Amino acid sequence: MEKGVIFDVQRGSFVDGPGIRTTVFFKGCNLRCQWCHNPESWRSEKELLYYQNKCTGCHQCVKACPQNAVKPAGPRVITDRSRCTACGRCTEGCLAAARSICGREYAADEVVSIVLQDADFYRSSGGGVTFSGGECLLQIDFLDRLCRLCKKHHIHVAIDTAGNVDWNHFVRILPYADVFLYDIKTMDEAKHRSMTGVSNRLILQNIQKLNESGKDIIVRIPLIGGFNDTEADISAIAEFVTAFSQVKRVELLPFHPMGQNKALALGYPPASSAFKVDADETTHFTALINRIFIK
Amino acid sequence: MKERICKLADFALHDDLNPQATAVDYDPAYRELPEPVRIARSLRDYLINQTTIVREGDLLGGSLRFDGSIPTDIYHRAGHTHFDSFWGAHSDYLPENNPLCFLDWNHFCTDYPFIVRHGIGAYLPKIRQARNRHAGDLEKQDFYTGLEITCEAIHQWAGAIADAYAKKGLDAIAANCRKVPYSGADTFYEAVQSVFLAFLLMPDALGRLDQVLYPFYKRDIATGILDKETAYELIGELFVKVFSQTGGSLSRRGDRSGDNTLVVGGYTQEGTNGYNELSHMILEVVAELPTCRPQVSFRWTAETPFTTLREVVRLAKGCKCKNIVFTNDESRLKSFDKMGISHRDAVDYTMIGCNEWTFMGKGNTGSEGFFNPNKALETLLYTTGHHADAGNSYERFYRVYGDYLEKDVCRMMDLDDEYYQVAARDMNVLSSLFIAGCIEKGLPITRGGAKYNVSNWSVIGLSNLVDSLSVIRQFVYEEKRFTLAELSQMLAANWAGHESVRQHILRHGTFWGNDNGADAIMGDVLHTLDRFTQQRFPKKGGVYRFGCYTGYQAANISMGRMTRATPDGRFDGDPLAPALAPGVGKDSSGITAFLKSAGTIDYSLLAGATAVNLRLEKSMADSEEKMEKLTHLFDVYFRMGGIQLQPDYLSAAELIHAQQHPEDYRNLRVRVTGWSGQFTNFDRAMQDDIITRTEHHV
Repeated sequence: MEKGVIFDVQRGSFVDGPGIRTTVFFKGCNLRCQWCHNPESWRSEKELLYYQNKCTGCHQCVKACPQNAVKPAGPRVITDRSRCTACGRCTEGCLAAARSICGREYAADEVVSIVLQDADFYRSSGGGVTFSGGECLLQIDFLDRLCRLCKKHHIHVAIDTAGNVDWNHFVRILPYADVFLYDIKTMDEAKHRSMTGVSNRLILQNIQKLNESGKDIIVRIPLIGGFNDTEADISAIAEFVTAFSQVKRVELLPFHPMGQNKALALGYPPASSAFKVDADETTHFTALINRIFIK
Repeated sequence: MKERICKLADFALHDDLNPQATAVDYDPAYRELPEPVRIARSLRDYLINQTTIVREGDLLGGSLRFDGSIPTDIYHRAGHTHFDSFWGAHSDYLPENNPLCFLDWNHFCTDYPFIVRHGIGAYLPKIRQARNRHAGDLEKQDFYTGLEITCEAIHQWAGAIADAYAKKGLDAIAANCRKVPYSGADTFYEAVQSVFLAFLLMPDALGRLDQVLYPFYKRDIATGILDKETAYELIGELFVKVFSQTGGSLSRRGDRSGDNTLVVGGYTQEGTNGYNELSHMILEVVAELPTCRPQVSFRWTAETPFTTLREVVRLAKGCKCKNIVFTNDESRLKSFDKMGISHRDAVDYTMIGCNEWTFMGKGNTGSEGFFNPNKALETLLYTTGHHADAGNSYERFYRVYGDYLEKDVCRMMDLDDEYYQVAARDMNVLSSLFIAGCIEKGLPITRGGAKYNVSNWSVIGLSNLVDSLSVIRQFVYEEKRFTLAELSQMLAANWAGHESVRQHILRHGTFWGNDNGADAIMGDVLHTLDRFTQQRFPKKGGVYRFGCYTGYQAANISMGRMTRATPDGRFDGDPLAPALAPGVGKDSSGITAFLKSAGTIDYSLLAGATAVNLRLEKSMADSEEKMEKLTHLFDVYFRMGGIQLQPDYLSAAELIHAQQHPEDYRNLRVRVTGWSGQFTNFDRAMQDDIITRTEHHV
């Protein structure tokens, strides 16, 4: 039985495609966007989250860890992540719920049974399931299985992707996907590489092929202060996607700092607060897109 | 809205539109008269001696305040001496003293359809007929005489009001008051005047105002004697004056938003969706006025078009100083049918008070009181040796709990009967005239005269109970993580030294509100409670029904303060769940899961006053597209059977900010349970309770 690592299943989402949706978050991503609001999605394995701000220093976790990976450090603790196996023993005794394990193996049936619980809401609102992440296309066998099962139950399927995977992965799920939520960060390759760790060439090639496949596409642009919040960046993306007949709309996702605390909990440096954009800027760039992208 | 109404509303927010009551020396000879006759004559003397404030520019005449010297409207219970004396002897049943059950304040709704259409004079032939039927019963003969005098007293009172307006040359108002409410109304203008004068006599709920007034509205608009602007102005003036009657007092009870409740929409007698142009106008007026009353419930039906629901969701969201809430006709009518209410009367149900219901002009069905089922669990778990009875299966445990619960429910029912026997010594003539059944039976409303009597008890901490039972089933009987005796010890220690177990329970427990196995436990509990209501009936007549909401008394806080630690992880003294809400922090599966848990309950088992609070983060409705999705969310919930819904669009962060900077949040209204109030006026405990409720994001 195919299993996948999922870090969250969110029911009742209004923001991940048409209608009311259930969003399934796959763990693992091959981009390292510095503004990422879901840094817990980066690694494909289960991992420990430790919210230092919640820790009361009871040191139960120090005693609980079978790997001796947790050591007292003043009123708090320090975890040697190279020894941590994410077994979760330390979370059990944590009195302040400061420690938790992110990610769990799910069987496809288990995910689908959660998805089916909200079928009434999908039917009424034109919603369905959204496979997101991380990069859901990286766990392609599991995704393929989930898509087939959902289609069997006539559930509308949206794929939320950064597009940086082999085209063959897309090919496998094309028969089942109804719409793609496709992220484009910038058209500038050097900038892309410096802020996400990878080139955007494959991403831009794939959207072209996706357009030819005839599937509906919603392009989503994260609006990041000091990175792509310029007329040049945003208009370049808008002009690029206007050429694709299957792109039905373009949405801006302004940076939000929700990932900062999670990054700290994972032991990463948090995303810079300089990425913030204000509401006026968002309105300005939305208007800019609407001027260029006309359907 | 016309400037005149805005100014009137502004005035009403700071000052009283009604005159001070004028004290009346009643004729000492009245003391020799039979009670109903004495009260009715005193009422007549009282009414005609009150002054009428005549305000330039007004369209509606009349003003009134009672002073408690005679028994008047049944809601405020002014002058009901026996009712008052009950509390002296029963201080242990005052809210602050009793963790198990205490009584609430009952609401009523006048028979507006009858009064507007036929007039109070039309009661006289009914009284004559009933008088003849009960010819041999001298006590009833006196009651009927009292009712007849009351009809004439109202006629004289309205006439005195007419005179006051005529003196100032305001002939239109004078003409209206000479005609209504004694005679039936013929125009929309007269109908609104009739509603207002009847309201002054029984200042409580307003009922199905849109249905009562619509035939007049439709005809007058068609014939051209009424324009929409004037209709809007009349409704506006009516609502400001209704607001002023109750006043703007600020207290623990907030601003008493539940005192004047009305409904719009719902099924008509013909079975069609009754939401009409006037219903919409009423909602618009409500949304526009700066006053916190009247409070409105929108009656949803399976025939309600999606576009109508969306429009109401939009209006409700934009409504700053009141909360428009939603109630579901399909579930209500089903539960009324099970209660044996005729379909004709059930269709004319209306919301009253916080979230109670009644049948317009036909019922004594408001809130009787609050009941805490967690106490029975406490008795079972905390008393040494008791848990030994529970044996070794959850089913057996639940049966034993049911026995303890039955004893507590009996105590609650004893209180209900004891209270009735004392309160029934009060004679009420005025309200008895306005509620159908009293004339036919020859009984005042205080003695079970209403056509329908229901003793409505609200269960406090329902989800705490369900979650506690779920924890016991899961950890004691299924996973065998601890024994019942060990659980009892941990609870007795208020979890001290057992925090890791408590955390384990919170993390891995199956809690209600998540579309999971706890839903079945909820079903079991409701079946058990319903069974008790099939076994015993109130002395005042009718039936018992359980519901789930909290009124002005914030029973979830006071009872919580006197309820020890519960197996769901709650600490000794913490508030219990208000209304039909998940435990604090326990609905982790999202909004659809919560709506499914709440929407799939069999509400014929929880047919009493029930409120479902839903706090939505503002971003859930910040665009047209999301507003559309939100409407779908509500639509699906109602189609599942969800009985009630009251959304708030506030974040916990915003509430905490308001708590710290009350000066910036003077007008912030939040829904407490059945009613809403100004957040900054609540005490700290209630503010904290509201802040900790779950907020749903997208």
